Amino acid sequence: MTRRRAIDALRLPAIALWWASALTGCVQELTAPRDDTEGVRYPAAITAHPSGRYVYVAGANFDRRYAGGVFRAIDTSTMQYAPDARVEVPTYASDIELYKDATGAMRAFVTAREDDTISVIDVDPDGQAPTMDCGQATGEGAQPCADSRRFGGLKGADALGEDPLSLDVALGTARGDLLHVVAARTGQLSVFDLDEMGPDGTAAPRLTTDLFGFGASGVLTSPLTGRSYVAYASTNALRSYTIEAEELEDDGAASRVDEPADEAALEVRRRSTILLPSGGGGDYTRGMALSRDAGRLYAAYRNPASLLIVDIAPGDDGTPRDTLVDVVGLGGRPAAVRVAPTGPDGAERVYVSCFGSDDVWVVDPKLRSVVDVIALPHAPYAVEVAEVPGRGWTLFVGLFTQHQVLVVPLEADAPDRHTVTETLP
Amino acid sequence: MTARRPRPGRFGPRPAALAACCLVLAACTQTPLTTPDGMTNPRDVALVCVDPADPSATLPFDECPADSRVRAFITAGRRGSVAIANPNAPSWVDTDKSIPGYTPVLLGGLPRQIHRGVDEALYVSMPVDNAVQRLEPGPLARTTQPLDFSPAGVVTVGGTTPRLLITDPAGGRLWQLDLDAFGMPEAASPIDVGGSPHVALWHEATDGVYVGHLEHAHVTILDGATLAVRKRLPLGPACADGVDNDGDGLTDTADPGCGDREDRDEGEEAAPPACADGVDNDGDGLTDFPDDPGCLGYGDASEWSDNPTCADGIDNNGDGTTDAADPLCATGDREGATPSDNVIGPCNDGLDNDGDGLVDHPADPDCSAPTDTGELSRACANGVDDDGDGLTDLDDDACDDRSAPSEVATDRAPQTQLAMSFGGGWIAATHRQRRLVVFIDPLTESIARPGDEGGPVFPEVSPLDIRRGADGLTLGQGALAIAPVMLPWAVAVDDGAGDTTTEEGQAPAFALTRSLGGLVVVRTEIPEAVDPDGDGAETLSLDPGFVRVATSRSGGAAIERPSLAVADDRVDIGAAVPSVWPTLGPLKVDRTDPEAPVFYGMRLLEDETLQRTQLWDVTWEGLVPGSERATASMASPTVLHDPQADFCALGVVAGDWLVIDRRPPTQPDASVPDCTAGGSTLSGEVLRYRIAEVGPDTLTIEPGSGQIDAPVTPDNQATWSASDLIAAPEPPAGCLPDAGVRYHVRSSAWLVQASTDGLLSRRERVGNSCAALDPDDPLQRARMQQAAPPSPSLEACPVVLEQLPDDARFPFDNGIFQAEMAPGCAPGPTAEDPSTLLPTPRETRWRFLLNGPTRVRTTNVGAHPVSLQSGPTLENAYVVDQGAGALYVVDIARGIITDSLQ
Repeated sequence: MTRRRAIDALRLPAIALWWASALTGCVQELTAPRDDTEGVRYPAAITAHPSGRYVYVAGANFDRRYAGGVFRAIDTSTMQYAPDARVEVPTYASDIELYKDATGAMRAFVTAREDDTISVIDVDPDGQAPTMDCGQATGEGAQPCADSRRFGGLKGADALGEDPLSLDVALGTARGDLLHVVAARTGQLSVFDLDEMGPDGTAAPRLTTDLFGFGASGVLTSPLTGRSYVAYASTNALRSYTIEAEELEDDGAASRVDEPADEAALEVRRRSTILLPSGGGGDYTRGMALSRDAGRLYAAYRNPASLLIVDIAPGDDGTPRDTLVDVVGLGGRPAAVRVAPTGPDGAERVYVSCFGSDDVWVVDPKLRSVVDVIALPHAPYAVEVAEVPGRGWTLFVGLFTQHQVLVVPLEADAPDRHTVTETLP
Repeated sequence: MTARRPRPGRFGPRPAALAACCLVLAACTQTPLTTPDGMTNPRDVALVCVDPADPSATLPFDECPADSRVRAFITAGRRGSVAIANPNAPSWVDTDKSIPGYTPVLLGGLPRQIHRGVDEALYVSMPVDNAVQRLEPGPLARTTQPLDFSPAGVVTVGGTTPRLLITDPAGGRLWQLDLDAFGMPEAASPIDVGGSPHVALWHEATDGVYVGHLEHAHVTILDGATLAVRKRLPLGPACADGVDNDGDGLTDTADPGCGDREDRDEGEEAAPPACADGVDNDGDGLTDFPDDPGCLGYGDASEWSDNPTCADGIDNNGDGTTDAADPLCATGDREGATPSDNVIGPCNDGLDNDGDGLVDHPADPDCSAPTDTGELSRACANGVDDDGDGLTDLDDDACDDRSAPSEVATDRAPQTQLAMSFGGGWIAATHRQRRLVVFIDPLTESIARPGDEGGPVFPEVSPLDIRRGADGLTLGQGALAIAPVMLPWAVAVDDGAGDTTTEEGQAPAFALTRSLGGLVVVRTEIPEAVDPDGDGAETLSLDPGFVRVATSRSGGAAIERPSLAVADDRVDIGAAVPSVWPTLGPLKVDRTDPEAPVFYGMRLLEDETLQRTQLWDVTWEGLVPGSERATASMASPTVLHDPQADFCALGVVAGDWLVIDRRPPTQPDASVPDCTAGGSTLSGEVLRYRIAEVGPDTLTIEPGSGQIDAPVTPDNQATWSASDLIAAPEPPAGCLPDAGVRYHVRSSAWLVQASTDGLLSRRERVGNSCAALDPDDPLQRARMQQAAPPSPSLEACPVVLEQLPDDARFPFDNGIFQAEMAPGCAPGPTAEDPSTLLPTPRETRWRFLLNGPTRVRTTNVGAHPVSLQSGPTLENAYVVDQGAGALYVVDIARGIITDSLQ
């Protein structure tokens, strides 16, 4: 047998095997069960209700064992998941934002990277009940939202771009309440006018642009200046922009989408690029958070592993200074950032989860110094702080691969401060 | 056909298997070259010297014979380690051979700053553990000193009782303890020094302790024996240094002597501005800032910003009294035309309270009526605690005055680093946010400033920097670390008899690392050959001075080929500038001139310190940057008042055009009807008036100079005629809005501005006026006149400047370069026809890059070089890069990295 014939002899079975496995995969996908596990698997995003009474957790279903991930609520009075509150969200959930609209309704927007959509889930605006409504069916396990409560996708007028990793609600801007969404793979920014959202909470974007390039990993808007900041996992820079009424006919930068006739089109204006240090390698900024006065931006940075402190307060001329102030060294692979007034006399503390070193690092941003390291059993990813009634400021940490959410008291006078007191499955 | 045979030794199966076996065996017998956690996120480095006779013992660092004996102790890691390196080998030192790999010293916690003490022990601050650890570098024995605070920096002080000083930035204190008592509980005692002490340094000769602060822009000098404060030296303007410089109990912008944060003197001026003069200037019963709401800050030149009707010279309400004489004005109300106008609110106070660029009703859509309160006030004048810190408006430290845009403090933290030069002659202090390094003379305990008579020289600091109050050397990026080094020099000295000898030596210098990488070296002595008596015989001079080590550009400073843009469209000028456009000269460099080469018509002048690398724009009727505003009112028909402007700082000069746009801001393209008042009719949407006088917040227009603004454009260039311009009267009362007048300022000639130096006509305020321009000082010139042939019919086109009479030419010289602009022209239809002079379109812009004569030498030492120490000979610097987790050894003389470890 010649060498070529021998290869051909192997090729046909190989192709057949590939098709068989592919079909099996499809069948598996179609028949994957609803997630009815006790907790939240692969917790990827955690957000607290402003009341502190409930904390919402989105699971990523990272191993695709189930039809999707789950969105659940932790009842902070019992530190247990509310038993009946459970909604399925598409696989690879990545971020959660809450928004209370003009009618008083509160919605949770949950991004999912698998189908590049946002699910809109109504929650109790007062945070007194664990209700969740996105038109889901009743049944065993987490049920998916109705199609009418999801928007986005890769094609169509409401396409978000590939891999929508982060979203941000910007309240009270000169253009009203806006929802910003960045997609990592295509670098697309989509901006939605929250005032125009329909009763189901979905809408077409007022603006999309691909100005921001590959690797956009986060977006955050300063309420102080209205300037938004984009972080990159693949570039050692932060970029800022504002949303303005479009002046030019067509500058190739912005494309108008579904523009209401009586409103000016919006456009993105790039404002600044903040250059960051690079220690080599290609993994850079992850989560971001604002100081409580919105004068500083904190970013979890991986190269070097650090917390970046960026001055974004208005300078003497009224425009943000957008200057890197300091680089505070942290543990391995910083992931997410939150800020709470838990230092002496309510001084600000910054909490950064470090996925690679199994801990959360606590930074005094005024002293630019680490003041504590909270050791954890395994790799933390998502974090959230909440002022829980009766407990005070509390940290919630998602252990991604352990499928757990840990509870850590933060109050200065708490006897078990900075130690894990509860573990939710 | 046979299968192709693999080449032996590359891909053949037997060699591969052999290689794999070798690798496996090697793995079994060799220790991996790693330092687990040891160089993760390094923070600081200290050097010690090992004894050649006994490598486990150390020598006093001052007696260290060579860099090869140096061991670097680096605080780093996520689990609290101190990695030890032999940086010149380069290799790591293994502290526990029973553990595979190189094991660092494990201290626990998060060791931060590490300092080699006067006793040669290492002291390590542990901010997470609230402790300092002492590490004996030989035996690696450790002792812990518990503390009640989170320490930042550590320094030891010698003398009869050696002590350890620990900085406590959160408490504004320095803690001291005797080294003999180290490790004993409560051995440390506090000393209040104020500010946010961050680093400290002991100057043995003067027994002074220098303290740098994290957030306060000054250096505190303490007496080494008593630790009493001797002095506080500001790192920048006195009104932003956190110090009560004049001892009146008021600090920085809380002091009436401070006009703003850039004010360099807290003392009261001889002619203070109206808002700091102790007089109720507007007669409203309220005096000065902050009592009078018409004062934005102490530096405001008028108290009536909130109440223009009481200072317009008009009896607005017809009651027979005018301005301060009107009882309404005397009680702080408006002298309004109607009673409802009299009460001052955010929508009729003449101020852009919400910072949206629109003032009052009807300009600001947030104001539905003059009495509306819809225009939100600026964050520092809105009665709201915007940032939730419990302090509102002017009570909030971040609010320097009422016009401040935010209650959130902009980060101005100096994060000062300190270093003492070899021999102790100078102490350098850095200010990270100002990108500044200053030099302190420890004998006089004063800062050596550029331009100080008889003081050290600063060869790279331009006279323009000195005029603006330079405090030291400005760096491209903020300094992260600083250390003393020695720098060799060599100077050729001519003895005047034809022999030249080369003198060589070493001089103290400082090495600095900067944010985003880069190490630069600053000399503290300037070696040069001088001829003091002019007889040709040179001697070596080694005067004190500060300059960054730089390399000269071949050929010295030069101007690159300029570009031309008309109405923002770039013009292809090819090999020769089209004759229709004004030009600075032919597009070639002429090096035949015996005095200096001419670059495209421009000749560089002698002072090299002024020839810094920057872009220059020369723009016809150019817009004065920052002057485009909508926050003015007409205080009278000839005086425009903008309370939020500083025309002195903007560089507006008499002779510029004040361009007023009558159209409402919300309808920028609207046409507005003629306005008749007081017997005058005002036509046209946009008017321009020549400025006769410039005040800090007022522009006085030249009577009779008004015109309807009809600029030359590329489209009308051939047909435009100055005789077609329509005259306009001064704006009669009632023909412009009471507030929110839109305007900008344009040069009436070519506006010359630089990207770094800006407009050279910028100047300071003096009381209620701008500092006078000196017509003989070229460094204040920012307007270039264009040559003006006596007749519009020309004999030659392009215009030949040399053929024009002297009074038609206007050579320009700003102390940096000389130039002369020739106007554009159009040739006649035939060779026999005369050519025609063409007017220049507004915003025609020539742009060129001036490259300075030197380029600062920068050594790339990683992305975030956080720490820097000098070796025993001061010839090498040891740099820790947090970015890559690396230690670099830099040869200072050559500016290259000689070794590195990761």
